[in-house]
Amino acid sequence: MLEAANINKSFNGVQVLNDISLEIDSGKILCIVGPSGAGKTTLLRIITGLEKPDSGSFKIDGQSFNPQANETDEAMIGVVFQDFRLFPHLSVLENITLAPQMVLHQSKKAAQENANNILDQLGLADKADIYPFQLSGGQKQRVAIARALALKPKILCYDEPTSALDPGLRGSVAQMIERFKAQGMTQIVVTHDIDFAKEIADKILEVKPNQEL
Amino acid sequence: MDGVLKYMSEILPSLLQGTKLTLGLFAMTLLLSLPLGALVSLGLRSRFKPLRWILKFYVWLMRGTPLLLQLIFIFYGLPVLHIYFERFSAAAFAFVLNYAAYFAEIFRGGFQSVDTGQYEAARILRLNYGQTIRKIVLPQVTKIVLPSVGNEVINLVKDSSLVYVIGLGDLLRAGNVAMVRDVTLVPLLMVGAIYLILTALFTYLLRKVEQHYSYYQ
Repeated sequence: MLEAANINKSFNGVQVLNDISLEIDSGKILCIVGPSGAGKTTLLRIITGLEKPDSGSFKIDGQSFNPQANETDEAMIGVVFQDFRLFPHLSVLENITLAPQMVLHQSKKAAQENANNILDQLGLADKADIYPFQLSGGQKQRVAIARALALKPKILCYDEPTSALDPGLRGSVAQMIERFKAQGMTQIVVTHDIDFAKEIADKILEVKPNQEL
Repeated sequence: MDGVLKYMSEILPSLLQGTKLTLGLFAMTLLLSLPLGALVSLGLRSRFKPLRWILKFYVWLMRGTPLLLQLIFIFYGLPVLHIYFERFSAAAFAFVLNYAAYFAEIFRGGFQSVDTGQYEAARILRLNYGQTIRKIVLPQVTKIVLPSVGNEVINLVKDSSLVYVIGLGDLLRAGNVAMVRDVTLVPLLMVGAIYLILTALFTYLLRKVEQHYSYYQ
């Protein structure tokens, strides 16, 4: 279970997040919704440690933690970025095996075996040796998910998972998220698509744009 | 005609001897200035202000004065401060410092054009700074900077002729010696041809390296 309490964040004197708290139980799906500019992505960046909050406290399974600390051996949180951010110079397989080898010190063979299993599950078994520029948007997203999963995170976060894809793929993204839920994964989904959120969420957190003074 | 060919074959060994020195300096300079330039460019992006300031000064000094002047200063000037270099070491030292400054600026541009999202993705995957630079950023920077680095490589082949000023016998100097001794331009024509062959060769090799990196977009 992840708890975040009283998160505040302002940029250049403009308060973007005002005392936001959230809670998500293990194995559940939390959707963070709101119009663009409301601070959803900022909130996700704070939870994942990419942005430093002005104030706020964080607990995972009752243990307080600092999202920005990077030194624990266990991967806490994986992120699937809106624009995927695959490494263009590495093949699909290398994208997935790099971090397990460098960070978890897995052998190349073990990392590749694990990566191939994940690719298999995501229907990308035949894509292991090609490069990101050769993939469609939906395939890139699944590779980004595979890359995050390879570190065995406790929580998987998505930033706007439907916005960069064809509308037709919306349903398959929902299915995929449901499938990970069935496997016990805790997930946080940032989206501006309320219907999508209602479809998959166990819990919805609405972030409203701050009224400017 | 036979006389010219005979003359050419007579002076060729001394020109090749000069080519050897030219290529030695060339290789030494590239081997050391490329990594040094990459390090300096990382330092130029450091958050530590004094380091940035010092490196900016270094780049300004090296790019702001003629390489010829730097050569003279290092070989003839530094002994005043009781720092002595052999001729070749002095030349290598000046060339490495000078070219590293240019490479640093080229690399700085390269680092800037790698999307910050790549750093964030690496951070989320918990790669540390060294791993991120080595495995994610540098390979992408290399591809970006290759054409500009190639330009400098070609320049370096020709810049190496400046070492005549500290009495080193490079290719151009070997040609000069023969020209003055035999009162003919033939040696210099041969020197020009050898430079052209060298630059053609390096252009070809650089193309090959660029092709190697064209496996992704």
